Amino acid sequence: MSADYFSLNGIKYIDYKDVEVLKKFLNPHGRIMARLRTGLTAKHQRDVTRAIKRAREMGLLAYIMK
Amino acid sequence: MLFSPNMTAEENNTNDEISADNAEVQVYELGYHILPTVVADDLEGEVAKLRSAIEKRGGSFITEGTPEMTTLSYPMFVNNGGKKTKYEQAYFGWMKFEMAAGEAIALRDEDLVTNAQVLRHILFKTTREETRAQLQTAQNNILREIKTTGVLEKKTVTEEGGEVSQEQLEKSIKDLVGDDKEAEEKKEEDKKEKE
Repeated sequence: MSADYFSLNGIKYIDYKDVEVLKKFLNPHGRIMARLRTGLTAKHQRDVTRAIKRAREMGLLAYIMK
Repeated sequence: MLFSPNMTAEENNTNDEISADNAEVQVYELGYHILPTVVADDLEGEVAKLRSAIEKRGGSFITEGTPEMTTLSYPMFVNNGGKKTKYEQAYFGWMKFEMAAGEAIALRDEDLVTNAQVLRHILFKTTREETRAQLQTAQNNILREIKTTGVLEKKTVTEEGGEVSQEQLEKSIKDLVGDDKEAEEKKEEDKKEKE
């Protein structure tokens, strides 16, 4: 991903319930991808990380996928 | 911390700040999983309990997501008197509300943690605006639009003779059919001659 996904799609807030969006930023093992790979701004990377951790806590995303 | 006459002025000030922070109204979101063992008819009652707990503490609702049965990404275990119960599904719902910070902490500690029907919950500060991503397929298509270097001109086909009248058409058809008939007659004559 070269450009910031959220800026491109006009997404202002990153919600932990949007699991399909969050899955884009996980590798096949379920680990959060590095900013180098996601291409997100520092703020959006922090927001995504926070949302993924909330989703994991609520059982919407797995901690480990493979 | 309660006010005491032995406290210094600085300590009193910090206490005031803490109480002011606790009184400040914030927007919160509560996400919850209700046990799958709850019958669908009783589900509304369980949600009503949560709602009344929020209202009791002076909360005002903004939006709400009705609970739906969801498959959990990993099994959750609940310890019931030394016996572990495994849950792989739960009713997931959420609600957004406004509440004083101090009351929100009390809600978490006294109402959510102690509620046996709530498998898991999350309470955090959020914004009043809709936070769900609203992805539009049309918008996505625009992002994936391929840039073309030039625009192709439309080719307009014009007939040389201009408009053709009905009579002319009929004539041309007759000629064609007539030609075919003549050709057939010639063929038959040739055959007869050969015989």
